[in-house]
Amino acid sequence: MKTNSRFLRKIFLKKYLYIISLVIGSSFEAQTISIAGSNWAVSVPTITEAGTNYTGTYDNPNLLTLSGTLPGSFLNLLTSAGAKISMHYVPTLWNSNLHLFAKRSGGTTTINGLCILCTATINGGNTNYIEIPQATAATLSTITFTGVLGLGNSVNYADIGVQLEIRGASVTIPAAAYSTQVVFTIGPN
Amino acid sequence: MRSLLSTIAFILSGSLYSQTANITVTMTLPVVTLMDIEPSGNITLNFTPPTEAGNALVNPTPNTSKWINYTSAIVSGGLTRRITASVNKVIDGVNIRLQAAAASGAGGGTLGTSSGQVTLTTTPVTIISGIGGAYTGNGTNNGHGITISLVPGNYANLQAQANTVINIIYTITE
Repeated sequence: MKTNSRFLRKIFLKKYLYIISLVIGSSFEAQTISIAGSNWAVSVPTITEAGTNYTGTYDNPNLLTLSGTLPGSFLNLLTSAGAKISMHYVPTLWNSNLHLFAKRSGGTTTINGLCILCTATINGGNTNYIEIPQATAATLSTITFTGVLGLGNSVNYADIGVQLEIRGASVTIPAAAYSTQVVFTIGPN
Repeated sequence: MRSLLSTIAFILSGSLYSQTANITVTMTLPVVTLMDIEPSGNITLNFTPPTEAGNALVNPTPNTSKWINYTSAIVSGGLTRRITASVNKVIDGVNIRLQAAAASGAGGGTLGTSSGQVTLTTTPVTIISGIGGAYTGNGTNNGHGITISLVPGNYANLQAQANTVINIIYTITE
């Protein structure tokens, strides 16, 4: 159907503008996080002596690495509080006696664009293991930014090592193939 | 003006929206069924002849040196385990009795319950039952202490004999 009305054409144009801005907004300006490292299949040693139990605590032999970007608009709004990397798990089949933990090691930040006296630092999560909860996410680390931003600023964070640990493996837990997703989220602190 | 405001709002909403990344953690805990007797080695039980005519045999002091250790992992809702004992042969006129004590030591989980004192025959009899996901701890003083005793049964069937070796067979089963 051909639209001849100038009024209707204006309405449609407005609608398209909204859609385009929504697409741009959600795809180009969002903070990002990505993981380098493979899924972790916990290697549980076979029990060979009657009466003994598993040692119960196992570390992921492969360090995960987190990286991503905080866009300028995000930094402008969050200069005081900063961003946080939080974590929780989403079980497929899990047992409440199995506890997951994470500890950060290292991490670097790079400030992009013209910025005077700017710093971006990664804090926390590198002393003790932090338990990864199921329901409410726990904070692994925060990323704080200070300085006066110009146009086109953004912060890249990279090489944040994450050591995963599992505790509580025991023969008292029903024998089964357990599986869960560990979700890392970057968001405002 | 309204379009401009909407555009800014959309951009901000996009930038404040949390982003996620994830990995999968898997762990298989297998079914486990292990049992042994600690410490290893044989025990000796001897009747002592009476020194006074008309008296009965003097029973040997019961042996309490052995412990049953086990590790058991079962699936959710699976059958519990039990431990049976039997002997490879009986001695005429003699009863071989066995009693498992309640579990003690460094173990945990759903440990088994003793059936009390039983008389061993060549047919397995349950001495501990209701074992779920559990471990007793390893070695002596962990698990179920065992008391093994010899008592005369029917005197009419008693025969003098020496060095009669009897094997006690323990089995963990569902």
